[in-house]
Amino acid sequence: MPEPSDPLNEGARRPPLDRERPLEPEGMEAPPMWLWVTIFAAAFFGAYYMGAYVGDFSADPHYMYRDRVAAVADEEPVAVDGGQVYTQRCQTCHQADGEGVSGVFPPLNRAEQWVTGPEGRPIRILLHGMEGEMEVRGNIYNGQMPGFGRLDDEEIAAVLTHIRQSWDNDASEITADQVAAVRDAEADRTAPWTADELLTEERSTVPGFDDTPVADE
Amino acid sequence: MSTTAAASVEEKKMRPPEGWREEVDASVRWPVIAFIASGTFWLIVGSVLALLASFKFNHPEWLVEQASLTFGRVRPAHLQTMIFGWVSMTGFGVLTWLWARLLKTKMRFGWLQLVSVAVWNVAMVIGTIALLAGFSRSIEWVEFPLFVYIIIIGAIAIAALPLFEMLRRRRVHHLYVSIWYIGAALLWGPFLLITFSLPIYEGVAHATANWWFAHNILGLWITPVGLAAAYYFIPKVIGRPIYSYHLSILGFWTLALFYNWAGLHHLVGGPAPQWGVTISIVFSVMMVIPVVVVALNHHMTAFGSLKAVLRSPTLRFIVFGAMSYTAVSLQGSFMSFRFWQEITHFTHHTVGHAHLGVYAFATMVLFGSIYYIMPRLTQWEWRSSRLINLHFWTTALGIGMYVVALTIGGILQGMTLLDTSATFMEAQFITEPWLYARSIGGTLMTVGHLIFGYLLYSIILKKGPELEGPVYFAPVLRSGASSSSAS
Repeated sequence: MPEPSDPLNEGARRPPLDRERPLEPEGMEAPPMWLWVTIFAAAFFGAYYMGAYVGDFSADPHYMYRDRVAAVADEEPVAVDGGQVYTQRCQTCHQADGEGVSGVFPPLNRAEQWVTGPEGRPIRILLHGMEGEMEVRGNIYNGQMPGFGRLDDEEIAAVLTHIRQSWDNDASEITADQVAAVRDAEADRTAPWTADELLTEERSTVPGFDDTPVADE
Repeated sequence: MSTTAAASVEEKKMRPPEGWREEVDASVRWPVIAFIASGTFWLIVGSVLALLASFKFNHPEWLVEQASLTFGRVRPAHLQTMIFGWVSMTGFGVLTWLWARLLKTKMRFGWLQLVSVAVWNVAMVIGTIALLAGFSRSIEWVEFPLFVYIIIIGAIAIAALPLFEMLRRRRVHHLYVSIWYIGAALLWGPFLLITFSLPIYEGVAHATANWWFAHNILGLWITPVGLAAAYYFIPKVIGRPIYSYHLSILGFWTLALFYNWAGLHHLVGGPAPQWGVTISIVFSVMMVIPVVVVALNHHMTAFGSLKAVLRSPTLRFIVFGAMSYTAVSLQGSFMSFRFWQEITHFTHHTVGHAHLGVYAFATMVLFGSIYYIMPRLTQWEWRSSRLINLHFWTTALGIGMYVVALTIGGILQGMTLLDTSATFMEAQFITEPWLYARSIGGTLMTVGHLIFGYLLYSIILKKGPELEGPVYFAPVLRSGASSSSAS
């Protein structure tokens, strides 16, 4: 029986199985020269790339970017942003405008005795917290503020400076050294402060920085 | 080919009887039809899921009332139905037919494959519902619950048993190149699935194994079947031998040696040791070799037969697929480089590339194969060349729009993400027109799939007019059609 043929070429109308050509065995053409050149080039490039970037088979995922990692490590430490600390830790109670919530959370804005006054007071309040009755801008508050002693000296200094210089406040900067000095002097203190305690001379100042002018009353 | 005396005796003993094609085709008829029909069902399910996911990029507030229709569930369901439903099941049908034809022996225990189709479909239904219900493993390309893969591995094993039996009873001496690819895929595919299903990975090692798996499912399971089909149908329909046996050998073994290493280029910039990524980039570049070799072999065979390519539905789809294979592979080698990934990693660019591979190559080759196989299995012609033509142009233009849009949109997105003065949202808004184009391309493809589904339904149930002769895109020349394409 002659092999059926494909009508694509010969034009017979026959059922599918009868119009097939047999699959011919593969040809035996030799690969062209340019193909060998391409193969060699790919292999050569692969060997070069591997040599250049294999990194002694180090497990370091950043091998390729070691210079960039080093560059980041050498940079000056970024100053703590007091505004950011305020947003994260203070704003919930004292509000973005520093006015607090009437009758519940005292304002920080224009709170002369407690915020913009002698530096020792706000530092102590932040380190250990505060409780009991206190008068702020003519209103009596009786709440409880937690201490933030777990923040480091730079963070406390930054957020206090931010508070003391925001809104209508315009008081001096507080430095990390001052915070460290108070933290050191009050190392045994665990209980929150009361208003009476903080209004004493001893608790208003920063030890070693006692040239601080007492501006209130 | 040089044949020794022993070989020629052997060959004589193995020579298949006359009319073997009828016998062979009849033995694989229902298993192959079942695989192809099931795959096409999942193609349509996957297309609907794809459109849902695509439109959500244009209208993020659309269909968010049900958790099951949110992007995070629809998108993995699309991927899984397409890979393990459409491409794998239809691919299994096509490879079974090629296997039988090339070994010239009929399939025994064909009912095992029917059992496999049933089990596989049950696994797909469970997996897809599980994904939509929120039970995703959240591992890209492997989102189905673990036990679904175990069922699928079992289904593949059951379906492969009759194939190994056929290999034992083959009636050919020389194993054609398509057989190498299919045989290799039958080992590689389950090996990949089993290896990645082992509960031994954690952390960075898991990510590394994940991309090894995901890339190889494309390269060592889907690609070999696509190449096997192209190696068979191009010379078969044109009636001309494959250009070079030497190139076939070279292409097969370089694919086998190189592809396995390529997956880790997905971890550029990630926490994996960079030497692994470097080696992966090296082998991604080395993949140029098998790709150029296979391209040369296919295109030299088809070269000069433009008329046949234009006229035969099978050839038109398969040559489109073979050209896409060359394109997607060379693009992939380039995309593996670190300097390029700095722009395109984590953008839509990669999605465009993935569809160029799985759709423009693998899916189009499967369509072409089915146009050849089905009339032989059912003894019935396709009902309309106009519908096949429409199927070709909707899918070809659809995937063309899709790939062009995401390739460009992805680069713009990547450049904007790198621009430190631009906001994240600017990088999203810049992709907006390109994502509209993607949705339109996807809609065109889906229309094509519905047409294809209708054609398949018609030919399986022998609906439509009883035609004589093949359905080609132009009338067959009756008289003196000097075979310009055959010479």
